[in-house]
Amino acid sequence: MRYILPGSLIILSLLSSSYAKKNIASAKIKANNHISIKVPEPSDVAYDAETGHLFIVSDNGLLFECDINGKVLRRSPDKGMDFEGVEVKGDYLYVSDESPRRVYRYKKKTLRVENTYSVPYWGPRNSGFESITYNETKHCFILISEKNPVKIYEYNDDFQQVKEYSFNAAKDISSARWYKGQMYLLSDEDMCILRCDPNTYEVREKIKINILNPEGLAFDHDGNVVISADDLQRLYFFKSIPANNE
Amino acid sequence: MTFNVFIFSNLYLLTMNKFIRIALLLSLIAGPASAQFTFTAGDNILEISGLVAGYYNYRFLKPGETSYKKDRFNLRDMKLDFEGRKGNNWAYELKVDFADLATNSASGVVDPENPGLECAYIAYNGLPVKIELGYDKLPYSQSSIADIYSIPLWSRGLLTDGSLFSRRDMGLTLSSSLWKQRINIYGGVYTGLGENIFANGGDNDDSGAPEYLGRIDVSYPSRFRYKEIDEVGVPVPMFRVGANVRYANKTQPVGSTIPASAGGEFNLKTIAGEKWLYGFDAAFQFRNFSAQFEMQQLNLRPSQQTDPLFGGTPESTNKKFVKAGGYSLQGNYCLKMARSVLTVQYQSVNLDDLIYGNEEWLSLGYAFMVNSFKNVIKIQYYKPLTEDTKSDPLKYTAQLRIGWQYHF
Repeated sequence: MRYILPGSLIILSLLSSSYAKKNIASAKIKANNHISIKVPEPSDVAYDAETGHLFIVSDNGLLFECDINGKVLRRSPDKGMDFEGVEVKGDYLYVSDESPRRVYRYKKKTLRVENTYSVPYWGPRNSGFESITYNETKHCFILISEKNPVKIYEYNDDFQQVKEYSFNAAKDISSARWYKGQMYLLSDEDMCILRCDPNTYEVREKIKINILNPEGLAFDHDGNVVISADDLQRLYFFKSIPANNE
Repeated sequence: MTFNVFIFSNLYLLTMNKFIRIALLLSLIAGPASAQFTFTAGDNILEISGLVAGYYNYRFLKPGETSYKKDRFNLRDMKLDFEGRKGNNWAYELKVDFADLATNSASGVVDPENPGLECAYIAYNGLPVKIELGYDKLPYSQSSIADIYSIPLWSRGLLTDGSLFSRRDMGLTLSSSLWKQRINIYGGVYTGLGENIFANGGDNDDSGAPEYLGRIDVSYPSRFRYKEIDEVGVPVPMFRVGANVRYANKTQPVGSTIPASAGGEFNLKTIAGEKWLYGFDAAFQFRNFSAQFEMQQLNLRPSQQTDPLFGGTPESTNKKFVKAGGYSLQGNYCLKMARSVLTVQYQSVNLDDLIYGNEEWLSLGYAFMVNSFKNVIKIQYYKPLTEDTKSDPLKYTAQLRIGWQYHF
């Protein structure tokens, strides 16, 4: 009987770890370099193929346009509350304002808000939609609740919800990006990028990154990975990840 | 010691077995932890969250002790928290503990240290300095500041659990952050009665003197939240050091005394006289290991020689001056794959330097995260390594708490 506790703990540990040991390919990548940026608490980053610039949003409800080296070029005069996600689509930028549950459509040229969409979510104020991207495979926007629980919501172009998916492969999701037919999800707490099926969001590969508080994910025109880190106020640059070569 | 081992073994068989079975069941059935609820209406945002926690407490009584009343199930927390925002600048919060309210209501007496109200304040964030007015937790001592649901043990321990200083009070707090939130500065003025303000009908003591407080903490390489566990496994070593100070001079007018119970169990929380309180704390975390250190020093000048803090010593001995304080060391390791947190804590406290005796405590903790630390089973075994038989005599040699905590 004296072995009940340790025995039980071992069983618990095996049960606990079993979900993490599914047959998913894994890799690890290291950043080539990083830079500090003058964007306070950068929470997401998106790459604009047209200009080669980065759009970065801040927890303070600010939107910045930066060059590829992170130098601030412009700041939008339109302020929100708690910007957590940004996506570039055509002539527009779409920004997720987490606390008030809104998505703003900015005109890329003027950096002014042209439209506001309400995207209700009843979960924790600070665990709302931290990720926004356009899924070109399914021609829909997706917003992802950060955690407790992580859920993937698909929206049409007017941000009317069309479908939702449960997602249990990570503790949290802080950014999402569709790139070359793959859906990439970034987990802050698990410190990894998850390459997913863009139709089902099933995880195909897990790529570990060793970064404190990664919150934003983008791919430049060469497939190089850019990650923004909130607490350290940095951008990290990686070479293209193995999955991009598929 | 042998007696403890014997009792512990029996308890182990009777209680642990059932508890582990429940834990096994929970690990099989539990989905993601439920979460807070958020309501939005334009720029108005209201979040509702809460905490339910209960445990079974078992005392290893000393020979001769006959009262087993502390061997019981205890509803530690039943908290509801309403946290609101209006745009970017205004914030407010109301937090109530129904477990304390129920106890106070049934007994007909307000527990001065657990009045049931945890916070009620409004705050303005539109200036470089944040302004907060109301009743709230004081920005003093990293252990006290950390939310109870985020700590791996069931209690903070004597040094920072509110026995030596009040942890909440009514007043005005100013705060500001610098250097990407790595530096945080706090200053405030309060009634100085702490949680006892409600038992005193909302009035201050007869001196009417406030308490002043200041704190600064610096972290590196990034901001460091007040959490004791590194659940994430941060990839770079993170540090924080903090220093804080409090001062109150509550020398009573002739014929007045401080309100009954204002001094707390050890007459230290509020004194009739001058009180300086200094504290230093430090925290570290890296790859799921975390550690905390804290020390507190109380310099007291009671205005009357009859004050119990002098312990009946003559003025020539006490020089109108009393010291108290101590330090705490804690280490935690989060074993992610086993969803477990292991903790060891050591505290050394001297409640009065004029009265012989010092106490040392050892706490061992194990926490099983059903899915995260929001839904956790916690076990704490703690015992005095050295007992202060004069200032804090105990009826037990050790204590065990096993319980479940759910933060929604």
